[in-house]
Amino acid sequence: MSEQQDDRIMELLQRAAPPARDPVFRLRVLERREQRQFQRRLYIMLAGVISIILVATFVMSLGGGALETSAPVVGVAVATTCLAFRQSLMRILRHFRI
Amino acid sequence: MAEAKVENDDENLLAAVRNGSDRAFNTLIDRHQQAVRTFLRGLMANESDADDIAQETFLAAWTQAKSFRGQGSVRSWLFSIAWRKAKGSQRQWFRSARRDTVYHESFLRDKTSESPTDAGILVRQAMQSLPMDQRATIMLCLGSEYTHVEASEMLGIPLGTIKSYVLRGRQKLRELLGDQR
Repeated sequence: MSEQQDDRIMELLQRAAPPARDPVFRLRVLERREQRQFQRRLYIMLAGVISIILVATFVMSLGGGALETSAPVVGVAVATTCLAFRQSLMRILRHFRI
Repeated sequence: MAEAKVENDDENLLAAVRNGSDRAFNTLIDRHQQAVRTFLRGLMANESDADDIAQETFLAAWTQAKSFRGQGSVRSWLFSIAWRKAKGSQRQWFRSARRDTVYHESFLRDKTSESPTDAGILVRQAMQSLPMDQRATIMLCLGSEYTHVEASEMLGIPLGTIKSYVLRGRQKLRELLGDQR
């Protein structure tokens, strides 16, 4: 009797179960994962851009604002940052089809 | 024996997920989405919130696959993640609970007037009146055949509390079903 009731309780608790196969749910998870990965890359890229700006500002202030002095250093800073974040950069460029 | 094979497959699957295999991740979702979503639907006030947390659970499984230590099954591990996510959203849930309660009450009233003996609706109503910890315990021990010890480990709730939750929950649901006869 009590076992029957337990079986009934289990059946009722399982009544809200979704279908065993639900491709739409899987697609939603994958879509959300893509969005998160894109956001992450964007944040990394943003951090890279901010570091370039900071380095450039610092170098410009050291060189007294002279373009000849600061340009090579800024160039090296930009190149280094691009190299460090190359994977993220490539993915973002690919995302925007550039 | 067959169950052990499935468990083993699950662990291999998670190892592949850890290595970044999309195919393994798809299989992991297909294999466990029903159980995880059913568990969460028992906890949350509405199915869309439950499915939202289920999606977050699988995302966490993707990013935290390395954290699986092999203690217990992969499904138990997913349930633990789902439980933590559900608890985390509890604050947000409380904000929307009032709206959901109003919706559910009107929904249940309509349904009850149509079919006053629908045990499924009564059980759902009874579940919603319980604290979240107890709902989770009931879903695992009465809705999914997990042992008290397993539920205690998954939910991080002391064993004694789990036993008491199950006892009281079972009593309440049996009374509800008994009244229906």
